[in-house]
Amino acid sequence: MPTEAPKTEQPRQARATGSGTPVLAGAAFVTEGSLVVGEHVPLTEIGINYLQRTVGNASVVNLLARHGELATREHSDRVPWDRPAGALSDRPRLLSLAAPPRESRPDAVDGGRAPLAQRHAKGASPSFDASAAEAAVNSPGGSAPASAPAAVGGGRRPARLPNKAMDVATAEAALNAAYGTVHTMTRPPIKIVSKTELLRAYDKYCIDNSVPYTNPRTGRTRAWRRGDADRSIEGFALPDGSAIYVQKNTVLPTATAHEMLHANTAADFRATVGEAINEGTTEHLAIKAVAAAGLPTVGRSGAKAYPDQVAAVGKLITVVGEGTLVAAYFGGADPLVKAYEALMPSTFAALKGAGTLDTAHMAALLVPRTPAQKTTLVNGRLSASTTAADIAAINAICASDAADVATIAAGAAANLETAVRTKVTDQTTASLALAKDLAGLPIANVATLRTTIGPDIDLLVWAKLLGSLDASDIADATALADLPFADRDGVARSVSSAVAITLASGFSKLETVVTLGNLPFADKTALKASYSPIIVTWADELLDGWVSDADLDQIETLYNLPIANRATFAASLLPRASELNWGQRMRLRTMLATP
Amino acid sequence: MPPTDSRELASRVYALSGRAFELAKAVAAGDQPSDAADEARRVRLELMDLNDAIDAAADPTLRSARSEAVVDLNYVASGGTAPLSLRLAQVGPWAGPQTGHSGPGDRPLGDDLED
Repeated sequence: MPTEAPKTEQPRQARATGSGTPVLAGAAFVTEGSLVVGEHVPLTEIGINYLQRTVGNASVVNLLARHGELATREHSDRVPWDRPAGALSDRPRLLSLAAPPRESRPDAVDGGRAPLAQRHAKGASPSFDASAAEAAVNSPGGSAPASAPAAVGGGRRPARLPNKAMDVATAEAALNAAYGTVHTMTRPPIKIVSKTELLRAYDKYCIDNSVPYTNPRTGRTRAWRRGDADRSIEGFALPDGSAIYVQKNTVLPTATAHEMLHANTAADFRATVGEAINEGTTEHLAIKAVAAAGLPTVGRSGAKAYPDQVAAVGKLITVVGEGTLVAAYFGGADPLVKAYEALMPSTFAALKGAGTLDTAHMAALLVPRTPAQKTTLVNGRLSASTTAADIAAINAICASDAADVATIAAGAAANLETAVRTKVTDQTTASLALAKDLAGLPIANVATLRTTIGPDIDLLVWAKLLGSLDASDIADATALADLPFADRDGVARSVSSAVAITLASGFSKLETVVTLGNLPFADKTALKASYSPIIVTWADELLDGWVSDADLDQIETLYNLPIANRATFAASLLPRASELNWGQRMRLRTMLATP
Repeated sequence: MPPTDSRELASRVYALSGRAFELAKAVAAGDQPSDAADEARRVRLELMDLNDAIDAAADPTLRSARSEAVVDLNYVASGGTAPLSLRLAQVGPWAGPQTGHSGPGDRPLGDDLED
């Protein structure tokens, strides 16, 4: 039941605050519906708040208007309510006040006599006119519009001017600017509406869809009626996905971005990480994007959403790195789980716990690894049996803090080289793929690996090229030569050596020479320089004495070798065409005319 | 008796809100406990006892938690016909398939480094 304020003109002695500190040393003479201030009542912030609590907003507003000070005073919410009264300046500081809608104004209920907090005893939340409040705050000098009637939430807390929720387009732009490289936001059907519209929409849905209303006290149900929606509702979603309703007059500037992020997160993220980490991550990302857009992230009263959850997520970021968290948030939780478990002794499920916020539990499981510990972890995964999962884990460890990579690289270089060499020596397709991935780790130095392992690759390629040189050998040699740390010059020399050995077999292995000369990692220019004179000599010798058509066939084969320098070939052989009969002459000239 | 300590208040509100969410998720999944409606009403009454404290609290997330809880409890009480809370919308009918992670990957955890 509302408690009525005194209606007599008896002086009221100051009461104590919750902390026991007297807040008003003077006396207020109270009449019904208005105030007469005695000479001992200073119009300080404390005094006004006290009067609001005791006699109601409407009366305070009347008083202030009578004193002509309403339009020029500062918002009281900038002063912490729990500060001892003695610590506050006595400089008069009144309120920038905005009127709530008529139907929710305290004086519409009981004439403004009862403290607002007591009127909320039935669960109703205070309702504000946000636009008027914004206008009051944003007007020059922080003054309220002269026409704005004044009322504030009284009770046991200072008046707060709620912020207007960010519009969807602004939130979308801020989020895309911050995370567009990872995920392009889809705009959910968010409706930013006033409290009245929100509750009306809730009621309408329930009425239209025959949702039963259950009296929480009696448990009885009946048909839903307009006005049944609980005033504490600040947001909801329609089951058919057609709309999300969010209350406009939120005190949290990040609310719209926050809800939009929820609509864009990976499907498994929330279930995997639990409520606390999900909300903390969402708000962390919202704050970061909104701040980057140059917009406020904190409510006028210093209000922040999920501060403890955000703090816990901050610790999580120190463990796994922000990039991993962002990737998991939008792309799927698995990398986050894997990263955490690569770095920490517990499972992610243990960290998640019940999913609700447990600050101490999470703090204990979110102690970031030192660079030395990370090095040890990485070395533990670098061996002959290193798997793709190990490489992913090492990547995750490196991603936890870019500043640690150099230390890890220095401490793990030897083991990395051993692991890479083992994979290269193994030569299987899978092993070579792992070697390539190892060389792609942030801790890998490709130039160093080229120096240390490059010669091994040269030998392996050479050995492959001297075999039967079937398709499998060519594929293996190509895979070796394609490794990012292979020495291009070295493998080209291996090809050259193989060509030399093959040519030593004479004409019998010219097909192999063709294959070698056409290898993608062969240096054709160098091969031509080295071996074209030899094959030109061979062709020239074929023109000695009686020349058969088979001799011309051989010359054509030599001319078509990829290692043949056709210009010098033609220059050497064309003068000898006159030695041939007419038909052979014409064939040779035609052949050598082919560039 | 409503708690006076802000931490205790937050703890109670989050616990009740979490319980409401669990009930709502169960209803959305079709495995509603037989006593879900009674449980929802009990949670609702406990929340109502905290209304003043929540309204007076400096932490606005308590009001958000209450809002989510109230919508969830309405959802439960209505047998899944009322609007969804924003959080339920993400794991319920609006969301895609869920996958869970309950254990370590295919390698030992980094527990070999404990000091």
